[in-house]
Amino acid sequence: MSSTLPRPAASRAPAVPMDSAQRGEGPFVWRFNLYHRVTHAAMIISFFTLVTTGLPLRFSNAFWAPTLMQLLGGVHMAGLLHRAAALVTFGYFGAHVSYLALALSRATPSQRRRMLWGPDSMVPHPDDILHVVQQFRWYLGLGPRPKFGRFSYMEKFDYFAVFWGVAMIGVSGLLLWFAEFFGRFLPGWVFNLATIIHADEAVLAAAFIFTIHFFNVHLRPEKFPLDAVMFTGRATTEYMEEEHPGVAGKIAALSGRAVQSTPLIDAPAPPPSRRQSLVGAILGFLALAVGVVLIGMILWVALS
Amino acid sequence: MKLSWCGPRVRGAAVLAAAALYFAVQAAGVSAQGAAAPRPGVPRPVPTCERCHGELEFLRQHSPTLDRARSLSVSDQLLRGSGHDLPCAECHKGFSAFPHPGGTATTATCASCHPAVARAWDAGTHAHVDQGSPVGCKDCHGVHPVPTRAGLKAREAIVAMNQRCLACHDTRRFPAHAPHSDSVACASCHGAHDVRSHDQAGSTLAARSQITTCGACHREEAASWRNDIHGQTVLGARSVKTVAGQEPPRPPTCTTCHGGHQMVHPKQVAAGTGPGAGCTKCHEKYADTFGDSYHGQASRLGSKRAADCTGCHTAHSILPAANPRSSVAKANLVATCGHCHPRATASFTAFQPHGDVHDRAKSPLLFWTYRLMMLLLTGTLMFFGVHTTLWLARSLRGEPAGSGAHGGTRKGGDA
Repeated sequence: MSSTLPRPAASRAPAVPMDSAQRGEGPFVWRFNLYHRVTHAAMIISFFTLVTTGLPLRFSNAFWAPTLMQLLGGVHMAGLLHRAAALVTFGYFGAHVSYLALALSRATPSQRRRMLWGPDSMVPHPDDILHVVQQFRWYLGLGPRPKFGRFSYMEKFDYFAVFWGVAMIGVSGLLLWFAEFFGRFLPGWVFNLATIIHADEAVLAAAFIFTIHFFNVHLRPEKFPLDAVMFTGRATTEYMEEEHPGVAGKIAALSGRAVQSTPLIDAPAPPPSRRQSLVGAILGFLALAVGVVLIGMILWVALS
Repeated sequence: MKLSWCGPRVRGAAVLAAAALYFAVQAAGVSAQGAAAPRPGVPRPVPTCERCHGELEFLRQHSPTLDRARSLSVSDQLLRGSGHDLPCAECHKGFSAFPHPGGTATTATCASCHPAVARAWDAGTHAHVDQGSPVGCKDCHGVHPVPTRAGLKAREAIVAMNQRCLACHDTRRFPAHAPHSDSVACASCHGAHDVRSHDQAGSTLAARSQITTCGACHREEAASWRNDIHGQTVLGARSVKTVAGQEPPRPPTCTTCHGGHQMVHPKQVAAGTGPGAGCTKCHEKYADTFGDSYHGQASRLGSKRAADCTGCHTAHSILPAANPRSSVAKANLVATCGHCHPRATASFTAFQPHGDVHDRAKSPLLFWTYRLMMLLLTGTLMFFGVHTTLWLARSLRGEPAGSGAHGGTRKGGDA
């Protein structure tokens, strides 16, 4: 019920799954392993906490700021929650850097090459620039959609934006958190700079995630209303052909292998259970709803 | 107090008749019992007066109303220890004779013993209320058991006196549990006898008088404020900076920041209404820059820990940073910041609590950092805004009517 969209009455087509990663033909394949999904969940929880507790300070003049602060239990409590969420952020970030180091050190030379360059890699590639151009040509009806690899340029942007964000917001946040310590060897006006960078970089991050990321991943008509691949870890081969044609053929060639119940990237996967779909949908919609409220609050201030 | 039940002549006759009757009965009783035993501990020669005036039951029988009987009922016990622990005849001079002469003309007025107070009263507002003064000495001090000076400071006495004031000035009631509510008499601030409106010359609450009036209890604050920039200006030791064509600013007095009847304890002010909110009325620009800092944001949202204006500038010893005694003078910053940041160092205090991101000349680094961040913010959001809008338009256009939510672009020729 909650994993399907209402279908048009006249249509005799089967119900369209609500999760766009479950739509289309072909068996399921694993796109994300448990580590990826847990990291992403930790990001959601910490990011939403950071934004919710930081936003009323940044927009302390807004009519909603005192109410939100009161709901959070006051400035002091919001500060504690903010710092706790910061620890989660530093935690998943540190874990990810370790994960990358471990994965690279354990990989065979050919695997390492694939991780660092080409259609399977997260590393920016000249093809990404080509894809941006192709994407705009496609918008204007001048050409076909670009054939994205395992990660489109938008996904790469999102990925590296976290590195940029953690560096900028994390470092400035640590400066402000341990101001007395850093004040021993840094001039105090550094905290003025840190406040500006911390607040405005955070507004950028929140505005980006709650509009651009939400649209690119969930809300554009092809995917509306939800893409839960990051929650269930799996997608249909047709989804992969549509979204990641650069690697889809190679993945399809592996479809003869046995279905893996443990998430092995690219291996055939069992379809997500009803319960998994439900949990994915609830998590996804909850995050979407909170994000939309938060962006509404930012827009209210920006437009008034 | 008005007595409307009859004229003085009739009243005098009635009392006379009653007293004569009573004395006759009493005399008979005394002679029957032998000599009356003297009551111990009676300091003044009043037994004669108390014989009648100490017996409410007797007075009640011979007075037309209970109120009248009560007002005539004065026992020795009632007077003992009160402010007027005096023989009756001190005030009721003509009443030693019996039967009492008629009328009350021979009763002394308060002014005859308290001439200075009477003069002050005559100068105050209450003596000049159009329809004759609505209040008099008795309203606050009572009649027979007049409280002593110390007794006037008791909480019950204060509550009772304030009730009398509030009977007319009922809109000036203090909120319950507010500072001063039920603990300070209206008269303590407004003056007891020469009560004047605060905008009248000589008022106890005039700008220059507040330091004396409030300072009577709040000595330390008053002493500090004498050297404070606001205090100096109010007291005339400093001149006010004026801008041509504008009304000169009125430097704040005690009540400007603390309020009068709406006074709230400094630690209980609601968010955004504290002393800081008062400062912003005049120091608008500093309020804006402070509001952009964490201190300002947190205190605006009700934090009691974050520094507000007074946290750094103090409340009653505000001085410009150039003054070496100022809390924000360079040499004192480590101590001032140290109230909240105990490990503050000199380099820590280079923080700009009023850093202005819009002031290119004064804080270029903040200005350019802010500009750069805004460029990054608007640039990123504009690029992806266009990216997203075009995508939406393309997807909606590329969706053949009637196809499934996903099938359109997927099976279309574009992909």
